[in-house]
Amino acid sequence: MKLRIALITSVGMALVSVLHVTWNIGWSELRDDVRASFGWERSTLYVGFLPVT
Amino acid sequence: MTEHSSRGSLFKSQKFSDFPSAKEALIADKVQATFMVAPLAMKLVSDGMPVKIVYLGHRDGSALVVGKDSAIRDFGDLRGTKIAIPSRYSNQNLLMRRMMARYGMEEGDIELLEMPPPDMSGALAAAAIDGYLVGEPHPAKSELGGWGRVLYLTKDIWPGFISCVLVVRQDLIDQNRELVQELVDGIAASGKWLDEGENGGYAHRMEAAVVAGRYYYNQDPALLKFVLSRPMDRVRYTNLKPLRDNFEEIMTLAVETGILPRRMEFEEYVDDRFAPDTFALQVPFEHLLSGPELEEALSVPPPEAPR
Repeated sequence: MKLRIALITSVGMALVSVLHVTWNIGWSELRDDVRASFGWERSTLYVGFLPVT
Repeated sequence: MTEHSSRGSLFKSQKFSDFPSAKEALIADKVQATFMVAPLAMKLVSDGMPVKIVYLGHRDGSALVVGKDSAIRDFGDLRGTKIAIPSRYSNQNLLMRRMMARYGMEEGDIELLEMPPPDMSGALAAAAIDGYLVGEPHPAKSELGGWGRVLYLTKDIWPGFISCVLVVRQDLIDQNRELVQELVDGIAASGKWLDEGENGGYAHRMEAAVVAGRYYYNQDPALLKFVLSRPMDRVRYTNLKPLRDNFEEIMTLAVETGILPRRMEFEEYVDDRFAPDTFALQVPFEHLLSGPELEEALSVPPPEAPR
């Protein structure tokens, strides 16, 4: 019974996490953050521009 | 939103359609750096926002456009007209006022209207305004569309004209100088590539027009080819280090005009230490395109303006 509850909880948490990343964060953002935290990317910089010289 | 990787860092570009939105995004830390008109950046600093101008976006590259069939032949003919400018905090505004003084005009002799650059060409076509002064490609849009005529290119009335500058948050400069340097080096290398080569970089510019039009600006590459080559010095991408004399001149005009409340020292709003020695700078690429796309970019010439 305990194992079953643990399994259901784990699956539920995983599902919520997947939905949270999908809806609120974005997988590409997560990928970039992971890369940066492991040192594979030095950092991310957002640069604004207007399509005008 | 687009992404660029270089030397291990990730640069993401965010497109805006007006300068106030770019300014707000910088203040809110949605972007950590942005291009904006120079006096707006200076105004941000005078308002207490910790940012610095670190590099120029380009030199020249703006034009005063009037209706193709209008009777306006020189600046004096603009008396009593409505002219659009991108922002009161722009060098286009300061240039208009400098020219008005030169022609003996007073405040109100020309009605200056602030308008987002993408709206200007349409407003001229609809005769809602008599002309506009703004950066390319918006002047060329009216020229190629057949309803606009360039009265002046800024290079002819304010040589080395500065429109947009690269503004960076001070906290980024303090925390990650290397990243700012990488950004500036990349912009400088791109500029060097655009201006170098046979005929002032003609082939490179044709290629850049296709890349920028198709993948970044969402504009017709033919329009950008026209902007980058007719004439070749319509806009320049070298000599982009912020120079004290240029900014002292802008500061004087901005204070005289009243868009800045006080004179500031150059070091308060500019950090020119990131500007690289462009002679020594290596351009890390030869082409932006390859295969049929490159051939197409180089074989299709820029259009001619209708007569």
